[in-house]
Amino acid sequence: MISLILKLRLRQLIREFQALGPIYTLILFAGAIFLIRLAYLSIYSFQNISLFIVGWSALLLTIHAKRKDRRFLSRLSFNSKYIFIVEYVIVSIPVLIIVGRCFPLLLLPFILFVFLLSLFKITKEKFKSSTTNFSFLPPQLFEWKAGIRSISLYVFIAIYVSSYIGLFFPYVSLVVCWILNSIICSFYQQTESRFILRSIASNSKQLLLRRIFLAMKAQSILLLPIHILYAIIYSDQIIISLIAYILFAIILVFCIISKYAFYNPNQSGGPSSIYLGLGQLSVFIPILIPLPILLSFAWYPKAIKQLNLYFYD
Amino acid sequence: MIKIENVNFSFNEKAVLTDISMSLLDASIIGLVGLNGAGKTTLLEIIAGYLKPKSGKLTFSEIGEPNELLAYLETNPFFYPNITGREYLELLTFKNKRFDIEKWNSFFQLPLLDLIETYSSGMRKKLAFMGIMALDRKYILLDEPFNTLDMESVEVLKLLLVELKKQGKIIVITSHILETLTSTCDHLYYLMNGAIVGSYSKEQFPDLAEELLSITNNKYSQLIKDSFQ
Repeated sequence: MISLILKLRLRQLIREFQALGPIYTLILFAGAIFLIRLAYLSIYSFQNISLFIVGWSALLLTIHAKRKDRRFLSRLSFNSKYIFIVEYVIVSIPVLIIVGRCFPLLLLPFILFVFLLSLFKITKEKFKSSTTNFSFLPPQLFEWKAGIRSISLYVFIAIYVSSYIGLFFPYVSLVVCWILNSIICSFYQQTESRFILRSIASNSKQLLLRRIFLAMKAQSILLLPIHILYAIIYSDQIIISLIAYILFAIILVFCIISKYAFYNPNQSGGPSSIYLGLGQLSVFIPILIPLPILLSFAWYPKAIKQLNLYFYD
Repeated sequence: MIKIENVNFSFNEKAVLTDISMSLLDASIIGLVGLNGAGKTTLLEIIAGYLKPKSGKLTFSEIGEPNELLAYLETNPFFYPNITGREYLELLTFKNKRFDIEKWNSFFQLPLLDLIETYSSGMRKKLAFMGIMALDRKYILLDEPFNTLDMESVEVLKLLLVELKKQGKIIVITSHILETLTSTCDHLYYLMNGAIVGSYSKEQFPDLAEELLSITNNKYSQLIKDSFQ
């Protein structure tokens, strides 16, 4: 059964790469190898590797909570837990190699975490605040309403408040702003129906520009005060705060453009999510900074062309 | 008016629609009837502009952007996850402030503050129809609007369609239930294997019902008898 599931996953992966095309697949592989190499080179202290494992574990936890194939797998096999274990171990192979070479002892708690994670049924419903009123957000920011509801309004507020508390320490609130921006970008991973597209705009250009403008406006209301306060408190770091704000704005624009460049109605995830991940990491890896800027320019016409399929021409 | 002239459509070299021509007049309800796979939804998708015909043309008499003239209710409407019914309607009404959500909801009694995921398929259909109304478009295309609706809602929908017609709108409906079409439509087109094989005005509806019944009887009555012997 497990080999059957793995074959199915392989086919799904191949289909995703086919949708991306050969050039972007190559870029993606190059980016992944670069990141693994970078992780390997920068993990030299126990503290760094612990952070690395915690980060990876948090990612696995999020994936596990958001899985939509739980029912499918449980119908397919009595022990879907084993399928989860095998899948999480396979995707963690690069992590296992890096950790195994640097601090082999840390492998044990990590593998234990993977086992425990697979045993427990964690669903995002547990964290949902379903009937929260979001009338303070304009109707066109429906992705924000859905996204905040899916992670819980209280969690979102807690992170936002911590960005102000973080102002007491250098760099902390900027990192929290990056986390907030990453959360906002993740809201755009689910595509709307073609009916919604036509209902909120008359043509693809209008739709794309409106969506970008509105998202940037909301992002500014949320993040700009923190950046301004940071620049006031740490006056020697004004440039850093300004660059960080510009980068977050660029990543958000890139996120929306890539969503529509690969737009298919009623889908979640898709090829754009991989690039979005690289775009978000670009804040910390200077060599990747041009990536969201260049791809935004390259994909703008692609997004318009893709959206034109759903508008009357 | 919408004029459809000699429209042909094929998918993977297989002809789905062949030489479709019809005129959809203002202030009228037009029904498309036919078996599964006859091409009803494909025709609606072409009118809606989601599919491009291989040949033939569509002309809209109304001046304006077709995107802003048309509203299309799909058989199984998709709703963005994690939003409430009210949020969905607010998204559609930001261009049409005259649309009174509460007033319209008095027809369907939907729990608009609940997440749409919690709605039954009938409730989703009602919400999707309210969404279409919120757009207030001249041309309204409804694919199987009566499916999954309860009896009361079917009657409410019929009354609303008549009222929309009075306002000069062009409504195109498909349905598998002939009665829902004969009681609301002004004209019916019978599609078979992607072609129009019959065009019926209101006075001829009884003929269509009889024709369909005799086709089904001829095709299956002997087969069913044989199966039970």
